[in-house]
Amino acid sequence: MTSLVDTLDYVGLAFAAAGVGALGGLGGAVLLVPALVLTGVDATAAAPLGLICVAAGSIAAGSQQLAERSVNHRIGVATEIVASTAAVVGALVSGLVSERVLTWLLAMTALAAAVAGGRRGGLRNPPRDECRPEDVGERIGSLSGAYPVAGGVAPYSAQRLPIGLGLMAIAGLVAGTIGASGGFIKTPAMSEVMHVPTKIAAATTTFTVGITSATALAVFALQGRIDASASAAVILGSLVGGYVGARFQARLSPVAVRRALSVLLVAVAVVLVTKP
Amino acid sequence: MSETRQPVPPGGVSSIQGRRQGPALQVAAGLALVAATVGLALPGAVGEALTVTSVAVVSATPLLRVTWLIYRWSEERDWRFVVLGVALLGVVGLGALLALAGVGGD
Repeated sequence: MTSLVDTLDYVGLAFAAAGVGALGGLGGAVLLVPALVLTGVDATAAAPLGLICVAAGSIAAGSQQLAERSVNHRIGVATEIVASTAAVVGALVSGLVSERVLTWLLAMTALAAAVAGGRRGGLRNPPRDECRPEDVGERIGSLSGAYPVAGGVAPYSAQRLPIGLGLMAIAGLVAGTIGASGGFIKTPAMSEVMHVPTKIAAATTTFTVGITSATALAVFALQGRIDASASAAVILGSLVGGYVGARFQARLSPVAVRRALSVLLVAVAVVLVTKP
Repeated sequence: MSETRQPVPPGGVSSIQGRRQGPALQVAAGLALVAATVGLALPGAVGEALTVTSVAVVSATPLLRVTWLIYRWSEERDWRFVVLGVALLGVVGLGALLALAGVGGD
């Protein structure tokens, strides 16, 4: 049975992690798990709680992101197949890779993505006169769509698919190897490499990390590795945090979301290299 | 500023606009929230059953969302993405089976 103080800790930390996760499409586990370990939670117990935070945050942010039509499900499913396959491979080889080396590589990746996103100004996909508000959403049969920006509606189409899928495979490998959701690689890969607008990339990644986490959670649950009362506290904080994060993201401009994401990625890099 | 003049994408706009998925997600979130809150407040077996329910709802919802998408894409006759959706569920199932069988991991 979890004490009241522990419960409040879980709720507060999960609220912050899920809120930040929904804002930048990071998932939140990469922030919550180290924070839980710092507060004395065992690392093996913290991993499922991180995944619960990601799944609950994904559900909470979903309705807001769907209302804005900022989730491109076709891009999400197409990239998640590669990421999930790599996650399975990552889980199989997890004992062969030095976690410390991997952590530093991830931190460098997060920093590189932060610099790439932070340096870029303006909109990559400008509004087009021939695009109307009813064009907003995803297109049938392709990895493309349109989204509203200041001054109109901007079309977009996923570019450089082979490189983007390669990065998704790395994100999946990371997810399977160290138990994070890989969102902090997926969102910048979609945005900076595949040229999907950052808002769409963040919302789509929030959708896909929910799938990754749900899969792992099913396994943890069947293995009896989930503490139900701690999980309930994390769910409580994550649902509220994910909702607040998605509402906040909706008020920000695409450039502001990208800058916020860059700041968060730097924070992720610091957390990764300083975690116990 | 790296601006790219994107062409207007070909093909029709998908009818998936979250009108049913959005409210369904709100119901799932509300159910998980109530079950988690009441479960934490109540002692004993009832409280534990409710906390387990909240975990089950959170775990099942993303996979049900993919299943729903497969159905909606089949309505749109977007068969390529129907196949991709089924393949994704297959990979997820395979991963779960391998983990349950104790293959790999720590």
